[in-house]
Amino acid sequence: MLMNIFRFIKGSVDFEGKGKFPERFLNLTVRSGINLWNARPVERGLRGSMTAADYRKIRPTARKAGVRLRVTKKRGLPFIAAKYRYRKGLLVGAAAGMALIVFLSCFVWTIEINGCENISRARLLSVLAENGLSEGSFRAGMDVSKIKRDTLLKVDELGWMSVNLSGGKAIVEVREKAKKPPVNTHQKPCNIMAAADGIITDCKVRNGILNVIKGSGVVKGQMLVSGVIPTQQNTVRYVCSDADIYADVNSKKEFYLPKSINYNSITENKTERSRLFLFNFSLPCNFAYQSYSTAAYTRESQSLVLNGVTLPLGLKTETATEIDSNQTSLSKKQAKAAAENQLALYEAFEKGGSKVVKRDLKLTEDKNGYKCSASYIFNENIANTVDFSVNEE
Amino acid sequence: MKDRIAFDMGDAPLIEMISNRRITVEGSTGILHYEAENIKINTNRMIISFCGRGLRVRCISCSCVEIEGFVSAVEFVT
Repeated sequence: MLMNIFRFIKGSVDFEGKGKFPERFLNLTVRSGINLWNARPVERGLRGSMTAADYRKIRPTARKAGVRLRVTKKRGLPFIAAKYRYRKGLLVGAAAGMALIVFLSCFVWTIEINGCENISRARLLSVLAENGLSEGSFRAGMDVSKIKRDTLLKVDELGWMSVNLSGGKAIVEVREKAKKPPVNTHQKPCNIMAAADGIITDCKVRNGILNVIKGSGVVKGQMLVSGVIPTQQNTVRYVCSDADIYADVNSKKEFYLPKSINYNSITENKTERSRLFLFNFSLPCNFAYQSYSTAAYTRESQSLVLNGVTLPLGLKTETATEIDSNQTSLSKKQAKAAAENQLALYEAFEKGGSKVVKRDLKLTEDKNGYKCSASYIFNENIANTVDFSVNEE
Repeated sequence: MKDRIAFDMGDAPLIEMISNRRITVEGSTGILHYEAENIKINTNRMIISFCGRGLRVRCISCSCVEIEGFVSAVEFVT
């Protein structure tokens, strides 16, 4: 294979030698240090191949051996170049093509990120761009180790990272840090007090002495678990109490819903504007001029994928959808549904760790709106750690 | 005690055969006869004649010749 490439670059000829002593021609050729291959005997002569440069030198040898040489085929780059020597445009085009390939291979065309599990890919791309690695950045002089170091410093969740530049593609391999388990570093002795009034439903004590039993009622600030433990030697040991005490706690949530509300709805009027982009340059594809006073915008980007590689070339489409604003009045049924939604948000976001045991919603209508009052019973952890100091005399 | 016969190999040709399809002759001084049915190679000690069909020189240098083809007979002419 390598030999064939070498022969192609140098150029070779297939020849036929006719004469009385082809073997003599072979011997003389070899002695004069000329490489000959594919030598096949034919009637009153031989056929073979040699490089074009050697063929020019071999004529006196052939004459000496009484062999008449004739070229049967010419192969290789010098002959192709000679064939197209008057077509300068081809040469210029090929050179320009090569130069373009070399120029374009100096840029990062696409970034592939592997190993992202919890870290957002978009965030990692933006941090990489801040540190100098983005689509369209110049490869030469790019300090990959600095980019790696700076990115690791900026993104705390990253444990390991590698940036490999392969042609126009940057492959970023990342490994996320393993999350540390929560460690209780509280060292001071402490009691556990009730954070709210309630009825105890479940107790899970890991350290300390439980002072209440399941079913007993407690008030806010009452001691639930003591951090003072008597020993068999009639002394006491001070510990940091650790427990989960679950209790049914009464709670109330009140809010007001006005009768008249502004209601925004999406209409069917849409305007799409497309732009063709290459790296950071973009050109408009259509000239949609219609605009709306209030609109919702969505942006979609479609990149060209070639052989599994996402190219920085594609179409960005921005869609503006008209929003119609209406003023409507809430009926009691609608107000109840809205209140239910608001309470669901309250339970999910403000009382995330609690379980709803009972909920009672009351709606009172007045002139301007509805007064919503929700009575709850939540089952929640009411354990509140309170430190205490010990003075030994 | 048996008599030991000592051979002086000196510049004797070294012939290597892969079946009857490929033969390498080291220590050749030139090709004397070159045909598809018969190739004669000169060495310092003897002439080696290879008979067969479709014979051809695959590779040749100053002291080494590699022959390819179907060899049916090898003859040593001293």
